[in-house]
Amino acid sequence: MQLLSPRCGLLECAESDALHVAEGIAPFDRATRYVMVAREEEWPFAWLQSLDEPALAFVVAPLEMLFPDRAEEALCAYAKGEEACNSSLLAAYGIVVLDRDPARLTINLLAPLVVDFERKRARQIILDGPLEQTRELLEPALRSLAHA
Amino acid sequence: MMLVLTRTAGEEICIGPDIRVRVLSLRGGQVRLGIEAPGEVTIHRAELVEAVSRQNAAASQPDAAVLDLVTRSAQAHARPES
Repeated sequence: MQLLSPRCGLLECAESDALHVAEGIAPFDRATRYVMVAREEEWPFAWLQSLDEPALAFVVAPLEMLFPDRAEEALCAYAKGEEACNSSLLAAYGIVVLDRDPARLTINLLAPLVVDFERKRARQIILDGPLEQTRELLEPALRSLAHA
Repeated sequence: MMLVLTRTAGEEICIGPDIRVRVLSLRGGQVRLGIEAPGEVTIHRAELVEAVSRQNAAASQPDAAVLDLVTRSAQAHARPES
């Protein structure tokens, strides 16, 4: 199928590419099908584009790379609510709020999105922590990649 | 419509067949609750749920031009060897 997204352009994807987010991503509970679009030129970011609402999309960043401790917490929390799943095909992402000033980019570490690529499912997990972690500055983690 | 019940420490309420909420203690204007529920029921403090929803809404209409700007900055700092 083709989808013209006002956010990330013309997308060509198969129904089998869809990730099902059964509970939606609040407050957009009716949008339950998304596709992840990771382009080389946008590394380390990726788009999470809704297939139900073309104008709805998020920018996400991989927590394994940027905040590995938080990624582990998210994957553990996800696995508790699921039947046995292949952990090597799970990945945790943080939803990013963009800003023209890179120093003001934020990522939501309190509620990571865990994606099960094997089952084509995803769920936003709410972890314990201070509210400020919904707006964690991203730039220090991006800078630390340079020293990894 | 909101159901209002009066309970004191040690007393419980049941929500459906599987969820029990017990008042564990009352101290200094705070109430400590214990909740028993099936594993698939998510339980969170309301302010967390509301904050996450607000952040999701703020993140929901990203501008591709801004992402391009941000990506250039991030890639200037770090890029894995291919």
